[in-house]
This record gives sequence, structure tokens and C-alpha cells, in this order.
Amino acid sequence: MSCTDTTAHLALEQLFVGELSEVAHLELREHARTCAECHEAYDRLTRVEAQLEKSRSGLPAARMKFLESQVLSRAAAQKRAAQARADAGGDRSLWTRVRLWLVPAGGLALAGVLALMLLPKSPPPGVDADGFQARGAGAAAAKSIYGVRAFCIQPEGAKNVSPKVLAEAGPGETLTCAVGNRVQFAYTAPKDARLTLAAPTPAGDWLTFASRIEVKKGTDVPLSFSTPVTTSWLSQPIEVKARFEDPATGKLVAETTLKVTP
Amino acid sequence: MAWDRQLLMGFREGAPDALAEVFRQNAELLTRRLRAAAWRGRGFERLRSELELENAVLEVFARAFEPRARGVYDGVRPFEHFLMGIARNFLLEEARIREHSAGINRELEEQVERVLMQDAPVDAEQELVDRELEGLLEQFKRSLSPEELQLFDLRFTQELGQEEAAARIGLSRIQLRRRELALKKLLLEFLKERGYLRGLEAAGWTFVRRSTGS
Ligand SMILES: [Zn+2]
Repeated sequence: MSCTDTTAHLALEQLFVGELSEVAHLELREHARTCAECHEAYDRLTRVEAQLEKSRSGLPAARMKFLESQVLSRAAAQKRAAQARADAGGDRSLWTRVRLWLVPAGGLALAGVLALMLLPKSPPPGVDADGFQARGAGAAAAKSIYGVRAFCIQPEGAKNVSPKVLAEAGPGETLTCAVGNRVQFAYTAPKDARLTLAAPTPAGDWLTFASRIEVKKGTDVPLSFSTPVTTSWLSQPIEVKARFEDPATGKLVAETTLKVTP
Repeated sequence: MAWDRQLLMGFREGAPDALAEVFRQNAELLTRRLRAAAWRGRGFERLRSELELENAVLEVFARAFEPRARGVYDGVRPFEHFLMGIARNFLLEEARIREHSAGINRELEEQVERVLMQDAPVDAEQELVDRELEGLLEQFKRSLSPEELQLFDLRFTQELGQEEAAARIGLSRIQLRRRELALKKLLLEFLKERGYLRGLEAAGWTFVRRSTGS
């Protein structure tokens, strides 16, 4: 019994009794990904609810509604992304494109992370055990082919207040982004790829921002979702590992490690 | 599921109504099959967690609803096959990430296909988990007052909707919802007392109090 996140505990109970909002549900899920206790409680309470309802899918009906709405908002973001790619002229600044992605999101569980230029794969000594390879800014500057950049964005406040980029992280840097803001990622890839962005947690698990999402070749293309910063996933610095794979063969083409801190 | 021309066109365009319809028609099946993969074969035990299972359902649908995927679905071959194909790739990729290995053995592929393409009886181990829970719920029912028990039976045993259950008891829907909320809070307390929530009844778990009366 070590988790002291009372907000999460309350959220678990509210979820069970059917009084949790969808946004709070997303935050709870984010927390439970990295907290073994809340994860277990989430699972158990879900089972009770499903059993009560005699649910055929094994998930409570209200949960299915949440999932449906999350799938739909993600699909809408993907659609916008495809449209923006289609009519993205070279005259558009990265920021103009980033703004397109500041969707009212409802906060998707997935999100982009940080910024580093990655080198094509040619494993030098020092590749760590799990196959990811960190590089310094110097090495990265040598050949910037694949890359990920991150932005800390202050979300829209009152009506007509535009979102604002508070910080940006480039090669070898750390993005600092406080709770209440959103983290947005953009990638550069010379070829279509599958991109994974994940950070190991102290619990030995992975906090996954994007899992093998398909990305089209392009320069500084914002990911179609941004992530609200909450203490449930960013209470201490995290080391995000980015990995590009060949979409056809699944072979690794580039990888790196970088940090995000609250 | 049956596809008419309008649904197919809506799906191809990514119209929210069409996507919602496709989700509703297929979410249960996908969830069941992914759960079967978690319990029956080896290698996907992680999906025995409801949270992970939810994430998997989200991920598979998100992929099925990607513009490119929507574009290639022809409306002729069964959508279930299309969806399970995506689920298969997802599971195999997961296995590869977890094991950090480049290749997936043929055995695993066959196992995944088997479990995704047809309904399987509930796994024995999974049944045990369910039965433990059933037993707990039976005990809970025995602890209820007659009014509480009536509500429980109408809503959860007979599975009546709130409207109908309210009519049977002679309550407004709002009154019924309030009582149901109180009942679920009671259940939560009961589960904590029985240790079903494993230690989570300690500090920080006292927000939803047993409400007496009402
Ligand atoms: Zn926790």
C-alpha cells in the first residue's frame, strides 16, 4: 500500500458508481498505467461491474461508451491529420500545422513525446540492453534524418485565447512542461514508418505514448494528438524512448532516448 | 454485421455516425476474442488486465479507423475478418515488443489466429475468477435489506432498464438512480471489507461513505 494519490482513489470509486467524467476517466487510466495498486483496483472493480451487468463483452456498458467516444475522437484526429497532410503547402510553418492539432482532444491516452534527431541505425558500442540507444546532441547534429520534436503547449483558456507554445525541445534537450499544459510531438521521417514512444516507469512497466503508430514520411509533422500533462504520468522526469521501424518488415530504422520533466 | 451502401460510404469517409455504428456492432466481439487470447494461449496474459484489454480494444479500433485502413475495406468481405486481421497484427507486434525479438514463431501466429477467428469456451482459470466474484455478490445480496434486494434483483438479476425498474417499484427515474448509487456504494464498502480490493481500503479510501437512509 504505497499509492497516496487520493484523486486516483476517488476516481476509482466514482468510476465504479458511475459518477466519473470521461476526462477524469482518461486521467485515471493514465495513472493506473504506472501505479500497480490502482491498476489492480481498476481491474477488479471493472470485473465486478461487468459481472453485475452480465456483460457479454466482459466490460461494463458505460465503459464501452467511454471507449467508443475515445476511438471516435482519435479517428477524428487521424482524419484531420490526413487532410492537413493533403493540403499542407510548403508555406505553412510548423507552428501553423501544430495548431491544427490542438484539438479539444478530451485528452487522448496516446501522445507524442520529445525531440531529438535520430541517426539511422548503425549500432555503435554503447547500445543499451533493451536495444534503445541514446545519443548526444553532437552526434545527432551530424546527420538529422529521423527526428522527434516536442512542444509544451498552453491550452486554450477562455474563448478567443489562442493556445501558446511555452517550450520546445530540440536535439539532446529536455522538455519542461508543467501540469495543466499539453505535450505535443512532431516527427521527421524520410520514409513511412511506425513510431513508438514509450518511457520506462519505476514499476518496471512502460508508459506508452504511441505504440507503433503509422507515420507518413514528412518533415516536422505533428502527431495527431497531444497529451495533457498530469501528475499521474509526469511527477518526475521521464526518459522517453523513440523508435522508428520499417512498416513492412518491422525492422528498426532509428531510435533515441530523451527526457521530459514537469 | 450487414453493410449497406450508405454505411460503407460513411465508413470510408470517416463519418462519425458510421464509425460509431461500426464500433457498436463489433466492440463486443473484439473484446471477447482479445480476452480469449489473454486467457487461452500463452504470451498474452497481460491482457487479462481489464485496463490493458481496454487499451487493446482502443488500439485495434483506432487502427481499423485510420484513413488508410478505411480506404482499403471493401464492404464485401466480412468486417469481422478485417478487424480480427488488425487485432492479429496488433497482438503479434505486442509479442515482438515484449520479447524484443525480431521474429515471431509460427506457433504463436497460429495460436493467435485460432483464438481470434472463432469463439472459444470460457477458459477454466478465467471461470474461477468469475466464480469467486459470483460468490461474493451472493453474499452481498444476503446482507441487503428487502428494499435494497428488490432493486438489486430488478436491475441486476432481471436486468431491467432504469425506467422499467423505477416503474415497478413506483419511483421516479431520478429516485431510482439515487438508490442505485447508494446500492453501489454499499457494494463498494462490502468489497473493501471482504478484502476484494486488496489493501486499498486503507488510507485514502474513505471518500465514498456508506450512506444510510435515503
Ligand atoms: Zn495509484
